[in-house]
Amino acid sequence: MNDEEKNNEISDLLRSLPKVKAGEDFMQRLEMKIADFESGQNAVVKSNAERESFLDRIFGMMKNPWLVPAAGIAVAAVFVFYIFNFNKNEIRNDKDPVKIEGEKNIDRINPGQNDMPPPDAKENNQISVPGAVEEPENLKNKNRGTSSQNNESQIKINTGRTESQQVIQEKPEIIDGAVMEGRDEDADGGEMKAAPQEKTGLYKKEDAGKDKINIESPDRTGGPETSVPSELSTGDTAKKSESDSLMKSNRISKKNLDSLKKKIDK
Amino acid sequence: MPEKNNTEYKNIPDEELISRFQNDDNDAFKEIVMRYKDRIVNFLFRFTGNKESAEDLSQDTFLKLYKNKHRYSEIAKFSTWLYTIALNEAKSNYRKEKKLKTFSINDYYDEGHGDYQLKSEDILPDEEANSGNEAFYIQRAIDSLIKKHREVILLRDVQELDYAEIAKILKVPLGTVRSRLNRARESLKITLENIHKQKKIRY
Repeated sequence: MNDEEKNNEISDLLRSLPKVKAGEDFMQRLEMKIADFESGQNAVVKSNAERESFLDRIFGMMKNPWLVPAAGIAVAAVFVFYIFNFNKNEIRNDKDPVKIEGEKNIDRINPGQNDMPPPDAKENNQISVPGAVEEPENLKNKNRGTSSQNNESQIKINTGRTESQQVIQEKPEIIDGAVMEGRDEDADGGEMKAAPQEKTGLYKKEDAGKDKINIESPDRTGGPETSVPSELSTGDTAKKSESDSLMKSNRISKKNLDSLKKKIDK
Repeated sequence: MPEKNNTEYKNIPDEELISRFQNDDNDAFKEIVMRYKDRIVNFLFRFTGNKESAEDLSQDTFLKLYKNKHRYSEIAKFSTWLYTIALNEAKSNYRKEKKLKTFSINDYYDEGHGDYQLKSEDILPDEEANSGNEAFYIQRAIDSLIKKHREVILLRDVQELDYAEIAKILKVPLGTVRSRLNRARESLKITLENIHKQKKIRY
């Protein structure tokens, strides 16, 4: 008795099961599904064809072979123009820091020579005082030794101004916080020195106007041209002390100058 | 479909029909559908146990045939190819439903309904009243078979395909088909006996 015969009953039972038939609308539903599929396929084919035709319109099938190098050159030209334009601005921005860098080298050669007062100080201090009398030559020499005591408010620094300082001048707000080192008493003829920061140089214009400070040049060879106003030369001690403190506030240390340069670089 | 076409295509073998359909003869396709729709629906109904699913799956089968007409080559019998498509559709549907059941149980639990009772394999009284005949119990017994047994028993005993064709559809050796079929029949026999026992106990 083989396996087929052994389970004949089951086989017969399964064969006797009623046959289920497809619904009457089976064919219509199938046709609708096929139509949907076809329309979907056509849409996909159409969109592909549109995409291809867009590219074909420009470069396809060598219709316009001259367009390929022309388009390449045009793209390259735009790219180069953009790069140059961009770098032009960069160079403009970098121009001043380069000069400042050059000035640093000068500082290394002549340390202390470029220790200038803050440009705003200069600007503010160059308020011409009506009636200010130029100091006589003998008085100049006299004052050379005791400049820190009575002449600091009237120092004129005419030389040694570099472009970096001009840059600083353009941005006087940065100068706030810088301190000018006063003239050393022992130094020969009012040489400016870098000094540790004493106090932030909150230079006030009204003070400057009041005290008639005129800082223009640190004359290395002959000492500073110092013009002493008539009030100071008469020994007005109150005003003298006031001007001393003002001068301290105008001092700038080298460190601060460097930091300012860095700020400007940024 | 016009009557004229019906008579024209009636005596054409399946392989010739599909060949014509491959040459864009849509009437040949319609003839194929007319020949096989009932057989495929019946096979899928026995596999899924649901008439609506069976019809949908049958339509998907013919749609696949329509889309992939050029994939058929005359190496195999056309009916083998068509049953393979139908069985694949049934299997993928089975997997989907299985996933859906798993998720639905979780969703039910998450919604705060508390305990969830899995559906018993026993035949419920209202189901029995609706069934009215032996075919219902047999179908329940078929549904309880594992998938491998179910497909082999349906192809052989319901669709009456030969062993070689079944082996090609299932992509297994002939001996495997035989042994699998025997085990499926035995399993079905045991299930039916259990169902009858339940019935006797109830009445």
